[in-house]
Amino acid sequence: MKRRRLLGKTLEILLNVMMLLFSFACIFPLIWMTYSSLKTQKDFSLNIISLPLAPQFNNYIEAIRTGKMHIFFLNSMFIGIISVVFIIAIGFITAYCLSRFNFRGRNLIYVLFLFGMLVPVHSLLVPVFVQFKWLGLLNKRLTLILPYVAFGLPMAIFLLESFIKTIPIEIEEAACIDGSPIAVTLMKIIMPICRPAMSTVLILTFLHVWNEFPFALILIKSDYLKTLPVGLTNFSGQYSVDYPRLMAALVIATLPVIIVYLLFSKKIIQGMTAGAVKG
Amino acid sequence: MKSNVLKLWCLALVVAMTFLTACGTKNDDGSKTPHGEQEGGNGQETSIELNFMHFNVKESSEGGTLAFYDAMEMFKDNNPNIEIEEEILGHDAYETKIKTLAAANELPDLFVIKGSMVSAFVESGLINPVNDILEQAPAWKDGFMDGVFNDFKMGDNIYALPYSNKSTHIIYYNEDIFEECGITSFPASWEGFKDAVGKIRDKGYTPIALGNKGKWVVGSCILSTLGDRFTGTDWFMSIKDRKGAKFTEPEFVDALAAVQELAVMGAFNADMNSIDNMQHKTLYYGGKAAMFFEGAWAISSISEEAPQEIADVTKLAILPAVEGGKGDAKAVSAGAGWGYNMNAELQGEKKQAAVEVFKALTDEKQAKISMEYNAMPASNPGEYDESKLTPLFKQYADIMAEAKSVPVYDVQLEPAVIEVMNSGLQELLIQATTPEELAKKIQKEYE
Repeated sequence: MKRRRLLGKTLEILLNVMMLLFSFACIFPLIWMTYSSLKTQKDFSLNIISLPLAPQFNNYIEAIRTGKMHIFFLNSMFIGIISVVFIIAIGFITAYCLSRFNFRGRNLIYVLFLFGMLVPVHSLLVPVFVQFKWLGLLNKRLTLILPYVAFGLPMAIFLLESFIKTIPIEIEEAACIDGSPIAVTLMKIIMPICRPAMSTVLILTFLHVWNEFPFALILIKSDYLKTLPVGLTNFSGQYSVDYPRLMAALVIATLPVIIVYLLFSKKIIQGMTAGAVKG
Repeated sequence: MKSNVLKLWCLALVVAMTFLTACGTKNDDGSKTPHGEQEGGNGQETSIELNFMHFNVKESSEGGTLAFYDAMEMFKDNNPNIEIEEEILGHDAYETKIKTLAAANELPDLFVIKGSMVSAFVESGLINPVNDILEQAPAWKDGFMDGVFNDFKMGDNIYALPYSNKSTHIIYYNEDIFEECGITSFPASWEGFKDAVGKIRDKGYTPIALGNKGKWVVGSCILSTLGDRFTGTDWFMSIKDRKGAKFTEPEFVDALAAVQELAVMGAFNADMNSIDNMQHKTLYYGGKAAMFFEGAWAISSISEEAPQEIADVTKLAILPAVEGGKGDAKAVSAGAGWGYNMNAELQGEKKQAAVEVFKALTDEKQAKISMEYNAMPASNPGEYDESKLTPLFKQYADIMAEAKSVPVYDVQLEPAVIEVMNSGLQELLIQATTPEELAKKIQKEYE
């Protein structure tokens, strides 16, 4: 009995140590990035992983002054928020219709949306560029929102549709009998129930938009409209990269994502399991 | 119920439509249209607008970039009627974008292209040869150094104007470590070089720091020059023009064997395939390695990054002569890499303005500025202020003054062949393949 407990204890410790190592492996790059951003290029190339001897914030100043990180940051925020709002609004309404109503062509529409997830973005770069050129939509403040919403919708609809299916229809019937119009049922009854699935969609689409690179590179020309991922490439010259400065810029770029995740992490996990078990 | 659904959909549609039209019209008036056809009639006081896409990022402190901005500034001051709208991207992002724009037939007016892009661009009719432009200004044309057009030539046509000439092979060595190991001067023969490697290794140093994770380092910085020592440049030219030479010829196999021999005798650090060229410099900066092979671009890295005591004892050299090899002992693999060209659709005064921009970026005056920023230009700089050169760059300039430029393999060969060669070199270094097998594999891909 005693021996078994001892065995259990060691196993537990072993598992914990392994988990600790795993989480360390995940978090170390972030820590490394943060303290490296305080080093000078010379310190950095001398020893890549050592702590900064004389921490200095020059890299941040430079990243904002010449790197214009604040502009890219605001652009990314602007485009991210608007895209996510559109994706959630359109996605939710479409998903509701697709899961609750049976009409001719319903399956076709659903499948069309799902196909959107199968198309590799890179195969669309040139066609989308040509199309935007014809429409005169290149290099505008709102340009990027269109493809982002279009590419965000399939997943949003897929997740929300399967989630709404799990909500008992009786709730809506009860609302209907009580005289609630469909718009009110949708906004006041279904939407609150969908909150976990919605925060999953929110977080996934926001991250996708925040990190999106190919479209932002191709469709945008002006420095004042560029987003973070494209702006970050400005830190690598043809032959050399100023790593500490790049790190400083990266800290500026990653911080909000981490904060968004921390704020919503509980909801995301909820949303994922909610969909997984019942779907 | 059904009519409610309909209403909902209509509402969604209307919202979507207003949004679409809003972004279609609202921003139109503010932005400039680069094509000024509508104002073509009244020629007085209209400024010529050109858009120029390049990768000289403002954040960079590379000499070439600084020289570029000096020239641009000067040009803009002297030509107030020419308005240049620049689009600047990081080097790798630039490459993706220019290829996409080329595929969509929407190239900017002025841009930079790489040797390997030339044939694709020419086939789609996106660029014209620059021969006629050069012929019109003989003084400008004669200013270019020998061989700098090689990367951009198809037959007799030249398809880009180079602005830099970079050797991809330079040996950076630590004189102190050499002396400590009893080597008084850089070896003058291949046998002597191998001897030296042995001596350094026996003292416990890594003779050559090598970070070949990116695969190109060995091919670009070692084999392009070492190969030339064995095979001579004629062999390569015959390969490139498909005039009968083969990769399986004994000279090229010998060159591959020489690379493997270095690996077998422990000339490189053991983790050469898993660190990159940034990290191999770290090994060198730490005083643990006696040499590293890299292109001329590393010169500025040394003066900016290396600790003073290492920078002070760093000297430059090139591979010594190989006994029995067909190549020139002074040959150094070098190339312009990138060069300027303009959209084939440019006409009239716009084309003339574009030529003026290119002149400003590649002429003798610019070469002098470039030299003083410690970046090797593609044109002869004439007289320049030597005191502005760092000691290392001075050494480099001296080496290059005597050297003969030979082709860089991965700039001039097709990407597929290069891929096989560079991956094969990684295997060769860890003895996973033999020189003969590798040569056969490259030859197969080449055919």
